[in-house]
Formats: sequence, C-alpha cells, structure tokens
Amino acid sequence: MVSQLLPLAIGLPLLGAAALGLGGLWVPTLRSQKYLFGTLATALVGIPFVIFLLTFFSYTEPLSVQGWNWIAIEPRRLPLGFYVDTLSLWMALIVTGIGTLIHLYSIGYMSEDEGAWRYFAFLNLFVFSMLVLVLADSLPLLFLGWEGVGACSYFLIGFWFAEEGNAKAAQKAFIMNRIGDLGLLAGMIWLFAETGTFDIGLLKKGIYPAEVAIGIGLLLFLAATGKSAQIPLYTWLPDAMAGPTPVSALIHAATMVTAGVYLVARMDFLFTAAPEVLTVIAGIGAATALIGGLIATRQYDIKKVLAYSTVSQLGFMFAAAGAGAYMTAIFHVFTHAFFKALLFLGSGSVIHSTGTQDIRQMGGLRKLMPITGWSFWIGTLAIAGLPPLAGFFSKDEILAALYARGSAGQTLYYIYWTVLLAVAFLTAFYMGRLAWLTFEGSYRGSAHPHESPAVMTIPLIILGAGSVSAGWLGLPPLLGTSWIREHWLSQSIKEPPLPHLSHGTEVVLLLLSVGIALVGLGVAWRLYGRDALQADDALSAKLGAAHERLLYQLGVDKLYERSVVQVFYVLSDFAKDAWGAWVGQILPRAIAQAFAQVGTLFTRLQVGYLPSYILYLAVAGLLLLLWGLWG
Amino acid sequence: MKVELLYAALTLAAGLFSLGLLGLLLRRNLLLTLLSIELMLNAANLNFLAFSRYHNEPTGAIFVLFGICLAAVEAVIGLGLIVRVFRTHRDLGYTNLSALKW
Repeated sequence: MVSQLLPLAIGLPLLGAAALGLGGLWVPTLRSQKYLFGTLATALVGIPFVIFLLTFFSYTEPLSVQGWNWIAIEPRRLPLGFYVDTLSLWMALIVTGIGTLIHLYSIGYMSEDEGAWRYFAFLNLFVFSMLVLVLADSLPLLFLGWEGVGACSYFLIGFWFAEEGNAKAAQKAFIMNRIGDLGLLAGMIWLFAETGTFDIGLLKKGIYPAEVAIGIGLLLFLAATGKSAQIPLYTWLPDAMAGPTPVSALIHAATMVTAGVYLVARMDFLFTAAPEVLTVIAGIGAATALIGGLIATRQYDIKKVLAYSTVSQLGFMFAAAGAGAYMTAIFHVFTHAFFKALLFLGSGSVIHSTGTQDIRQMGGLRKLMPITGWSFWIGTLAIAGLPPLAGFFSKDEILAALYARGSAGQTLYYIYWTVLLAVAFLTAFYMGRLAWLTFEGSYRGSAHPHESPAVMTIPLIILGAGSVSAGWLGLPPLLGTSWIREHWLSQSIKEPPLPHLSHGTEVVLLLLSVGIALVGLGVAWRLYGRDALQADDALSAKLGAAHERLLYQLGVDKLYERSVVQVFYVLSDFAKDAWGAWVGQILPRAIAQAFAQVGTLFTRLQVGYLPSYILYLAVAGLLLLLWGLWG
Repeated sequence: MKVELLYAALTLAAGLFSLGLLGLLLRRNLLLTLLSIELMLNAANLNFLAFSRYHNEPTGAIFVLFGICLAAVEAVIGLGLIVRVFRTHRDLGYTNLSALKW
C-alpha cells in the first residue's frame, strides 16, 4: 500500500520544480506571490516526508519500485528503478525532513527577494535530485541524481548572479565537482566492465579481486572528495557560502555534501574488499577535519566558520567510513544534519536581521533575538560533543571506531584517532568562539536586530529539539543498544568486523571525548567570556603570521590558482593561438583550396561535345571490363 | 555448336560493336549516329544468339526478339525525329543543332 505512494514521493518535488519554475517563467505576474510559491514548495517536500515516514513505520523488508526501461541496447537493458532499504530510506527521511524545515524557513528568509519563485523551483529540483541519488537502484541513475544535485548547487550558489563573485563561486563549485564526477563515471564504467551490470543489488553479490577493488574504490572516493569537500577538492565549499543561507544549510551542510559518505556506505562491499583504500579514506578524512578545524578558528565571516566546520565534520564522517564503520558515518550524517542545519539557519536569522556576516559587527544578539540565540547555543553544544546532545553520541562512536581499528594492529589509525581528538577540541573551541562573539557581550553593530518571524523560528525550534535528541537513537554500548546500528542500518550495511573494546577502555574513551569537549568550550569561555572581540584581537596578535595564514585559508586557493588554473590558462592561450591558427585558419583554407583545385581539374572534362561523353562512357566501360577480367 | 563457332560469332559481334562505337565517336551526322547505335544493338543481339545456341537455351533467342522489337521502335521514332529536323534545318550535323528552341 505505502509502496505505491513512493513514486509520488519522488515525483512531487519534480512536479513542484516544473510547476513553480515554468509558472514563474511564463506568467511573470505570478512572481510577486512569494508566499504562494513558498507554501507550494514546502508542501511538495512535506508530503514526500510524510510518505517516507509512513514507509518507515510500516517497514519490514527492502522495497523495489520499478519504472520503465530507461536505456535499452538489446540484449542489455537498464531499467529505471528505485530501491528503498534501511539506508536509502534513512537518507530520504533526512533529505525530506530537513528539507521541509528549510523550505519553511526560506518562506521567511526570501520574503523580500524578487527571485523567490526561481529559488523555490531550484530548491524543489534539488530535493528531487537528492532523492534520485539516494534511492537509485543502479549506478547510472545514482549518477543522474549526483549530477542533478551538482547542477542545483550551481544554480543556488549563483542565485544572486548579478554579483560577479557569486557567479564565480558557483562556477568554482561546479568545476571542482566535475573533477570528482569523472572519478564516479570512470569507477562506474570499470565496475560495469568487470561485472556487466549496473544494478547495485547485483554488484553487492560480486566478489572483487584486490586490485580491482582498490582501483574502483579510489575512483569512487575521488568522486566523494569532490561532492563532500575533502582534500584535495574541498576549497569550493567555503566559497559556496555565496548562496542564500538556507541553501547553505540544506545543500552545503545537511544533505548534498553528505552524498559522498552515502556513496561509500552504499558501495560498502567494494571498500571492505580494499582495506588500503579505507586507510586512505580515513587519512584524508582526518587531515581534512584538522585543516577545516584550524581554519575555522580564525574566520570572521559567520558562514565561513560554519562552512569550514562542515568541511571538518565531513572529515569526521570519512574517518569513520575509513575505519570501516560505515554505519557510524551515516549516524554522524544524521546528527550533523540536525545541528549543522540548525547552526546555518541560526546564522541566516542573524544575517537577516543584522544585515552583515561579519561577527565583529555582532555580539549580544541572544538578548535581542532569544530564540535564535538559544537554539544556536544548543547547536553549538551539540556539535562540540557535549552529552546528552546529538553530536556527542556520533562523535564518540567515530573516535571509538578509530581507536578500535588502531588496537587491532593498524597503528596508523591511532594517529588518525589522536588527530581527531585534537579536532574535537578545535571544534568545541571555534564553535564557542563563534557563539560568544555573536550572541554574548554587547551589540557592536549599527543595525537594529530583532527576532525573526515565526516561520523562521519554528524550524529553529524543531531542529533544536532534533539536535538534542537525535543522538539517542545511537546509544554507546555502555549505556544500552544503539538502535540505529543494531536494528536499522545493519540490515543494509555490512561493516568489516571491529575488535571489541573492553569495558574499561570504553569508559575512558567516553570520558575522554566528554572531557575534550569541555576543555574546548572551557578555553573558549575563559578567552571570550568577558570581552570577546578584544580577546580575539589579542589572540590574533599573539598568533601573528599563523593568524594571517589561517585567515587566508592557508593559501590553498592561491596554490591551486598558480598550479592548476594558471597552467590551464597558459594551455588555453596556446590552444587559442597556435592550435587555433592551424585548425581555425590554415587547415580549413588548405582543404578548401584542395577541393577547388580538384574541381577545376574535372571542369576540363565537361566540354559540351557529345562524342567526348561517349568516349568517357566507352573508356569507363573498358576499364570495368578489365577490372572484371583481372580484378 | 562448337566452341570455335562461338568464338567466331563473338569476335564478329565485338567487331560490329567497335564499328558502331567508332561511328558514334567519329561521325556528326544524326542519321549515321542512329545507324551506329543500331549496329551496336545488333552486336549485342548476335552475342545473345551465339550463347543461346552454344548452351542450347532458348532464353537468349527470346531476348533477341525483344531486342529487334525495341530496335524497330527506336528506328521509327528516331527516323521520324530526324526527318523533322532535316525539314526545319536542312542539316543533320548535330554540333550545329545547339539551339534549345527554334
């Protein structure tokens, strides 16, 4: 019964995108009806969420929804089909659930923007693409969703395209993602060459030799680094903050950037067969988490702090996946979706009322906008990993998984564990800094901040509740059973076995992760508790050159600019000048000349004298005769 | 029928055909052109007949009947046209007959 509603759940956001987009395009007078567009868009994501919820409550076994034949090159066929198992259903719930809240919030956020119709159409299109990505039962369909979310990300980062910087940020995101997409495409084709099928369910049953698994695994991980902003392709995410803030919350924090983690969890069988790739993934994840955490401590743009925090948290997820704990990674995707969406929406609320993104122009906002302030604090404590908030449970599980992998003899994982422990401290610290600078002390700006309308605060309250409680679905073994792990995700994900940690070790690890969060927050409190801005300036002065370097994001952008972009420009110039001269000028002229010459040659045969034509005929006949005799 | 006889007939036909071709190439007179074509047609007919007799197979001979029929029709129309042309132009050299309309 519910399974019959699933095509509807996937189709409604697409319908919404088409109706809102074409409606706004063809009937310009409708464009001013922003609430109509917003409400419709919200409903068309909300209804799918209800359908997925119904599916969730009646879930017994994986559902398969088959459509028509998408591509048929007989005897091979690629049916268009969706596969709803515990993993994909969970992702669909996150996408539509958080998506509904953010759509609702956007009604308030975009109420004064003339392009709201366009915005909601793209947002619906994004939800549709994301659903296709997570629910696809074959890799080409997953790729379609993958490209779809990339395109929507491009449209929405460059939403205010009249400013050149925004358009450039959108292009940067699109192009860097394209590099990763190449990996997905190549990996997909390689898998097809090995197995002759694209169907994920069938691929799961295959047995992959080590070198094949390593090759394909690395290619797929390249795709994940692009979409999920990991080293070396992470620099697009901070720039992506050029888009409207709800977009940053939905696409660049809660859902799209976790697609890479989803890809790794979906293709778990492949990565399990390639432990070397897992080591690389965990290493890249830990390194990204560290870099993101470091840069986040020295940013002044509220959204940039959150963007680097997202990069860092995604690093946590990949470190978990790299330890083989795919379920833990998905669990962190789940909790992170709540508190990071909350933090972004909170920052949007702040930006909306102060008109600036510079935290030096803020301060004292908790008293002026209490709901935003309190919910932002909840998000801060949740991401810092304070029990019993959501972030604590998933982060603790990640650290425990890395430690367990280390204790199994893979000493490299001990290093990753140490790094992530340090990043956990950094996380608590930079979030504390952000919260104190923004919401405590006295207001330093010149605007008149006020609390946002209810349509924006209600999502904050709901997400706040989620940030508090989402972690309870995954209790650590000390406190009970992890529902999400034992009763839900384990039905679709198979993790490589992890050594069991002793009771004592677990207690120590638990206390350690609580302690480190408390230390991070404590240091932030000690520094920023009294006069936040002055303390921050003093810290910057003390850090000196290191501060400058972190503020300018370690110069990675400049490095890419010099090593890749400039080289590309030089090659392009070469192509334009040398190659262009040949292909554009000399070669076509030579071909034209040749044709003219040959043509002139043959015009001489055309004399208009009948017997000569007969002669040609006779000669041709004779040649044919000779050809027949000797040929 | 012996094979030597076949060769003789084929050689004769080839000669006739070549004569016709030469006539086409060298003469500019419409009447002679028509005659040359007739000559080539009959060379083909001769080939048909020779092979027909050699293989004891009537198809070739029947084909020749059609060929003669065709030649007759062609001659009627061709001669009719030539007579009309001669009446109006007093000349049958086709290199001179270059006007599309009279």
